[in-house]
Amino acid sequence: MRTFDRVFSLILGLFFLALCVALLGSSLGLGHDIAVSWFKAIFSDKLLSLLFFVITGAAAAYLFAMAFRSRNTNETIQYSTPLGEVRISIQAIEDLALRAAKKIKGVRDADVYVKQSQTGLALAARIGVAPDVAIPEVINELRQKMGSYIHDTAGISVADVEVTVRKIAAEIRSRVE
Amino acid sequence: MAEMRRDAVGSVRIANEVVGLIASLAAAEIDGVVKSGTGANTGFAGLLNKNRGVKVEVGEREAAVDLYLSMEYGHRLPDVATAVQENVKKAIESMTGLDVVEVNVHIQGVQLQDENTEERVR
Repeated sequence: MRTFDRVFSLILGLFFLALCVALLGSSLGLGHDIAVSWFKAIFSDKLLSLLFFVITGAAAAYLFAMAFRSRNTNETIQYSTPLGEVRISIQAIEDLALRAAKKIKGVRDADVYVKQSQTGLALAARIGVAPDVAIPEVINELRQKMGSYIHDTAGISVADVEVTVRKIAAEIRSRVE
Repeated sequence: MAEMRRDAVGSVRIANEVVGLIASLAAAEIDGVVKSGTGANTGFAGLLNKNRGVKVEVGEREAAVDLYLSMEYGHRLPDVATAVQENVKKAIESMTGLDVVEVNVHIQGVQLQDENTEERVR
């Protein structure tokens, strides 16, 4: 689980815990007036209501996204050694692939993810390229170097690298000539 | 807690946490392993890091270790993993006398070395 997921889950947990305590107190007759006045303050103030709408809406969207996340983030590639097993997470391979992609001249930004294919490990890269570059050459270089970098660094053979050029970066115009 | 081992004088009990700590320190000695206290292991994020890097199973005479690590860019992962396995096995066996049956290495990510910890040579 990424750090952002953990932090956001913790904040949500604290929020619901506070709500839970307020509701328990109210049911026991403790702090009932405080809780009621607090809720009244939120619902009677438009700005405050809007703020809580944004917060709870974001929380709901996040929780739905987590619920329907389809990728198995615990997938690993593993091999055995005499001393035990070595498991390399998909995240680690994506980190390596992303680093290799960003080193390619002509690639401005990249997003890489790993997908399993029938022939072995496959990479999918979505890149933004600099203007005025030969895109086929960039793609070929990316495929070749990404595959060899993964093989050299992680000892894993890459069966295929699928590249999608999603945008051409805007030309940076100098203010002076 | 490890199972108790009895000898002529009394009993010896080694806490799982002790074996885990030895394993963590031995792994951190290897060049290419991200040291705990950097990156995702620092501060508030570090408190949330579920595994804290190591899980051990300790019996009366044997131990099995699972290490969850991040690696640094620029190192060959299989070589670093093998070095970790060997160093952890050697450290636990020499310090505790337990026989290490397996050291499993789980590489969770790869990150840049922390620039603040690099020494500047003039």
